[in-house]
Amino acid sequence: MSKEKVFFPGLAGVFLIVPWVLPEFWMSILISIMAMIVLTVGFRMIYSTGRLTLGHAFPVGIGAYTSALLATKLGLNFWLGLLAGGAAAGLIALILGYIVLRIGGIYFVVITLALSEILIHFLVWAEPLTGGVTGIVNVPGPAIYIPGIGRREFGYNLFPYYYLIFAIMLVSVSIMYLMERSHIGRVFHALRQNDLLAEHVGINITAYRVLAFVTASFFAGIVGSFMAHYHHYLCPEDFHVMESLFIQIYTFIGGIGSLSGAVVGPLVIISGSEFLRVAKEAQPLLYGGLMLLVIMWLPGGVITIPSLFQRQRRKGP
Amino acid sequence: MEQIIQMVINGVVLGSNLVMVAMGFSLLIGIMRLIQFAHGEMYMLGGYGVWYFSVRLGLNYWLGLILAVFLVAIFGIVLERYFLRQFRESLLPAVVVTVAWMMILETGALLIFGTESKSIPTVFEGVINVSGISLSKERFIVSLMALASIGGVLCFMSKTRAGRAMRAVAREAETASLMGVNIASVLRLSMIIATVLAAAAGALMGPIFTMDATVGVSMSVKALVAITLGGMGSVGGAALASYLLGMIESFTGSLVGAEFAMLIYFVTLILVLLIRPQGFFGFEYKL
Repeated sequence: MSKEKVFFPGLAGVFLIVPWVLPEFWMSILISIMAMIVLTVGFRMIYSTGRLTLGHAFPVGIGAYTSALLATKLGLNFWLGLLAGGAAAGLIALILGYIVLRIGGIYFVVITLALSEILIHFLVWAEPLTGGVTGIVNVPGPAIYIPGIGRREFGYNLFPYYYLIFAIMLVSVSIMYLMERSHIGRVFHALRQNDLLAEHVGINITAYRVLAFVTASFFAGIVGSFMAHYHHYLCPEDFHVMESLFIQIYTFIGGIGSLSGAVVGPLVIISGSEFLRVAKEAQPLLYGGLMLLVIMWLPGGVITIPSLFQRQRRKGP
Repeated sequence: MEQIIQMVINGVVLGSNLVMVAMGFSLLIGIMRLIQFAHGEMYMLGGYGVWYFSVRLGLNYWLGLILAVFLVAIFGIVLERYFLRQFRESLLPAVVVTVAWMMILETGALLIFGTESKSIPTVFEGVINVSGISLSKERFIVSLMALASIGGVLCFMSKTRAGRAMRAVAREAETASLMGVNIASVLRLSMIIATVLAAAAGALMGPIFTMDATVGVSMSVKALVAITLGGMGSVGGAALASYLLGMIESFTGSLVGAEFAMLIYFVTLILVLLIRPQGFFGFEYKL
């Protein structure tokens, strides 16, 4: 645990200085890594209550479409849209969660899969509002008003986006980390171990599951809203089941057992596949293979590799 | 009236497309207690295999079908032995493993054979015409084959020794093994049956619906809906639910449009799961 106290601030520091050190190309990759970290940490929090969701792209899509529609149809300010996107995703998660989280096991997996399919088909079907398959183009970028200097558009400059998603990541991961360290995290742990027992000692199990679900969905909605304005474009295909599967894969390869695993997963895999220059089409093949390797032979994920060496060293003469 | 009959016929054909995949899927859930998300990929592999042997290599269609089904069955055995068996009854890791295989197979097919969809020339020419209602001979014969396969599987499950062993394992694996049932061979047999059914479905449906690499995922999802309606683990329920879904798809598809049909599809699924999660014909498995 004490390792995490060094690891997280250290990583945050690295993220902070990267834009001045590495070329601009890496900035766009780190933006997608940081957005993904918010999603994987949220996914892991839902998983830590004993529920596996295959539809974590669902709240991302809700947030993205809410904020993009508010901005393009009503001309709403980006910052309000960002909150509205998170709030919409959180609200829908609250309503659905109370109904759906009571059902466990494989049935929950199937329901979340179905929910994300429903979102896609709905977005394609409701073409007059959402633009159908082609989606929404020309989503305005954020702007900031600084007293004395005036209004500044983010435009296509990566710097402000980078620090915005960095702030979002910092806040959301910190909140989820603190939740995990508090008594809430211990309740989550109890739910996964034995929810029947937890219920019998007086824990409102559905309420705690809903709490995890809503928190993760809220931050996912904010990330979705950010991505919509950052890319200036979105379409239903962005929130396909495959995206949810990627979230799951990053978390499992990083290590589902700890929060740092969920942080390391996207970092290692996304930057690794950039290093190796893996073609976009071949990525699922590589990720699938990696996931098989990890689940068969390294169940704790990439995060446990250092401790593997430590154990060997201790065993040695 | 004629339009309605035409829609019913289309529904039966769509149901036949699904039923062979869904039955095997349900069988696997009952016996292995895991959801084989890569099951739809067996359908895709069957279709691609026939395309490869009969179009690319120019073999006879039926020879190609047998070769394709045989190869996919061998792949199924390997998959079961080395990747699925140890995750029996451990739900979440099994989801991860089978989803990984789903991605590997789909992307592999995409990279090797390209994105364009594959069409296989039909073997049965001609159209059956009964008082204004037309049905191609091919669809008729394939639907009959699907019906025959339902009968075959249900007979096998209830009449033969091996089938009874499979049902015993589905109910109580531990007790069955104490009674002398060889669990490993039951697992292998059920995987072979499920894989052969799915691959044969893909091979038979290849000439009717074109094949592309993404068809596996959508088949898995559709079969998942079917077995949820029919009750996870119930083979007969899966068969009934497949035809029901075929009807829903055919009617809503031609009355209100395909996108809306899919919406109804999944909303039905969620409602069923909320009201009666064990489905309408299922046993209550602890999944």
